[in-house]
Amino acid sequence: MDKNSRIRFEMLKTALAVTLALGLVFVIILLVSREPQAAIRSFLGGPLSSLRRFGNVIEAMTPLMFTGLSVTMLYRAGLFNLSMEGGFFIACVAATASAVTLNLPAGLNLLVALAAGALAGGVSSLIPGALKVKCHANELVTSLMLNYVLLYLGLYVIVNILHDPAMSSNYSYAFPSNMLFPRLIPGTRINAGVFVALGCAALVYVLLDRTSFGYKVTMIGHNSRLAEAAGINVGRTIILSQLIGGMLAGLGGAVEMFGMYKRFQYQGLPGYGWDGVLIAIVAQFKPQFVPLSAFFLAYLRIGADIMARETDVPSEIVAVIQAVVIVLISAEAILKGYQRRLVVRQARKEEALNG
Amino acid sequence: MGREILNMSRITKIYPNGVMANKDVSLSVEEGEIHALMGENGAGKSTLMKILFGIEAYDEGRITFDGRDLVHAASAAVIKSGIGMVHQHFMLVDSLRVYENIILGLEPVKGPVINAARAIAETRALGERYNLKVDPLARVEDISVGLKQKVELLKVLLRGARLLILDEPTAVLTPQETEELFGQLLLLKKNNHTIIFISHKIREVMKICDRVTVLRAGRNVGALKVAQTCPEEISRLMVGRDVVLKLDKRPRREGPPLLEARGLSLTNRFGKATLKKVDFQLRSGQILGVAGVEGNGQNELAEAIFGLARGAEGQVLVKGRDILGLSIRRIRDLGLSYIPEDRLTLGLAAAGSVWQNLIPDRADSPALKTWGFLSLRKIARHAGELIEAFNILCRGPDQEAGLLSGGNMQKVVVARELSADPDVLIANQPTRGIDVGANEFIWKKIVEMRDAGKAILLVSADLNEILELSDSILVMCEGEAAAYFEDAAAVTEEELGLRMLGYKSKEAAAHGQK
Repeated sequence: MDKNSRIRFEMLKTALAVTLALGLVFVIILLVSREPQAAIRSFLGGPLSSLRRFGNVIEAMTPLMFTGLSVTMLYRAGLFNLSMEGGFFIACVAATASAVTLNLPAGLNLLVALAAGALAGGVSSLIPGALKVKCHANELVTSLMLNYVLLYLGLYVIVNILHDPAMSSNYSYAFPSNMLFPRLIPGTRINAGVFVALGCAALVYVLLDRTSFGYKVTMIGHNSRLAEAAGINVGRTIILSQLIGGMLAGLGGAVEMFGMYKRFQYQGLPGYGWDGVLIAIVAQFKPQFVPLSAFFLAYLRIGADIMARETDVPSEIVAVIQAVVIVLISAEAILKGYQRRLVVRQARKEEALNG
Repeated sequence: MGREILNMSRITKIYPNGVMANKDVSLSVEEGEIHALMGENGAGKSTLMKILFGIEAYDEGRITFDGRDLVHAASAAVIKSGIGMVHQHFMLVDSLRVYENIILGLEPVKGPVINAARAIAETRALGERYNLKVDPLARVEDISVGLKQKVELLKVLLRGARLLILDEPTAVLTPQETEELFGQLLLLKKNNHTIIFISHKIREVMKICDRVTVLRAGRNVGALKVAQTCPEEISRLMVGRDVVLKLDKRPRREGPPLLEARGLSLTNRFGKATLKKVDFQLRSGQILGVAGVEGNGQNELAEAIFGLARGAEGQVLVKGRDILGLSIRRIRDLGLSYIPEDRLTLGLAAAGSVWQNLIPDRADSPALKTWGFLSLRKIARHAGELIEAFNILCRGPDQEAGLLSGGNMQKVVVARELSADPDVLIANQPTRGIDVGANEFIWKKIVEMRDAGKAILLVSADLNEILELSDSILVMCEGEAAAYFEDAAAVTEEELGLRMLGYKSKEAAAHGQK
């Protein structure tokens, strides 16, 4: 199979996975719901039924793009880990701390807080990277464990230092109102954050596909021993990839804070890191496809929320779609027979040409 | 003899990467014969045997053994029907004893425990019967390659094999061990066993086989009686033209030393000394061949020099400068290049494209950039030039490297390493497992480098390659530089074989002294 037919094959596989997952969800809805027609209608059509709802989709896709890009960056280097989950969270805390403790002029305060978020995300992701390079510790294991450390560290800071006593829940002090991203479209909460995310997608695309650093990252992901033998500094590149991936997740956390919230409100890990994995897989680890993939997941999420509000089907049904899509796309065996026939047909064609 | 025991008819096999490894191949083997299956590397011999043995599935065709159909049978069923295979890479558990390996899966038991005494006795008896004497209690990791092969043969015989498949059994043996193996095979034949002998060495086939089937590029190009043919005819069938790889080299013009090892030692992670104080000097315009039975330190020598094996002691001087401990980047910048032993682990990223595989050592080069960004146009031009200069058969720079044939993959590696314009090339098995055309091409390129005044350290398990290419030869045995021949032309294959085994001379070998 040449490159084009491989790409076609992967796209077909993705489309099939999504279709099957949706089909399965419809079957479940038919089985459990007393009003299946209404449920499916509000699930698929709900997000388009009003400007506010469509706005919700755009709002929801913003943090997903950031973590999707973070996962793309790391997985391209062959670093299979979930440091973006903790990175996103701790960045929210760092950005909050910067926003409510530093008393900076408008504009500068936002920039400093975003930088603080990116830095916190980057530094926290460095830890699994450094442990991998220096101690050969599996980065998936260390990052998963680190996520809990980051969660409780963050909650400690919020509860003991940044907690607003006027609030009954463990919320922080409110952000200065001059820091919040302006809302762009009346009636929605769509804000400049989505453009920051799209800008990052463009940057990651250039970084990965148009610079020698990105080329090295890709080669390490393909075969790190070849990269080493070719004289690429594998350790440094891995650590830099972790740093950049973590910074993307961290920036996403900060953007989410000032785009969607007035104060820090998380009580646990928000789960955007895990969502990032799904998005990166569906985007096939190509940064240019991440926005589309994030839009797809956000659309499903909002659709499911609307369905849950309007009918008797709970929104958790989206988790079924997510699970099925991941299993189907990552399962090598799916469509193997079809792939095999493609290969055989092509081999015969070439055979006939060569005589 | 005379009764057909195995019939494979019109077997077609296409690998998942689209390579048609076998096309309409038929093979007929008679009972009690030694039947050679010949062909160049990549001709489809191993594939055909893996199909017979149930390791690979086939797309079309039919197999009958001893009058019964073997329809896509699993290996277990194939073994049961009386077929045994000695693989090219031994399938033994190194940490277990010889008898434990042999009875694996067929353990005689006494209650819930293995009846070791009986197993040992059985192993011994079997060894006596077929003159395959191995100490049943020795650990496999401690015995020589030749003995390991005997263990494999015993394993197969214990399972009641009447048809034995030997996949390039002599590739890992010295000339002396090969002789011994042949004696054992003839004994097996006398006991009415049938043997399929896979090889690409014509001399061996002429010596012990009754008939020969020749494959070329996945097709069956002929089945001959050995007694009625000649080496030239087989060679012609194998390569499709009258070539025996011979090389015309200009007399050497050596210059100053470019690479020098002094007391180079290496201990592997199990604490075993794999290199013991190796000294040699490599001069400009010289090809220094490193010969040895596999696993005697040749690979370690290459990896230690290039910085791939860390922790080496001693000195490696390049232009008078010690490079031990430097990063691979620095070593490359000092003018060294490396063709690795195994192209799929160190040489290539199979999932990457051809162009990606041509530039990993020069990704920072300004020649590939515009305004600091990689220029896909410049890279494509660079890759295109290399593809043309090195005659790499591919659909273009974008094709996945893993989809190329072995020979073309190797050409990608060679193109990259030679185009780096090194002063010193370390070529570790540069032509292993590739077709004769690519082989010839790579040889030519290496000799061109030598004539241009570069220095080449050639590590190879192929004695023919060592003898044809080298100006001088270093023989490795048990991690030591066991012998050095300044003039390679004056060395015979037999002498080399003795030195590889650690004998000091022919006379010493006759008396069994080392």
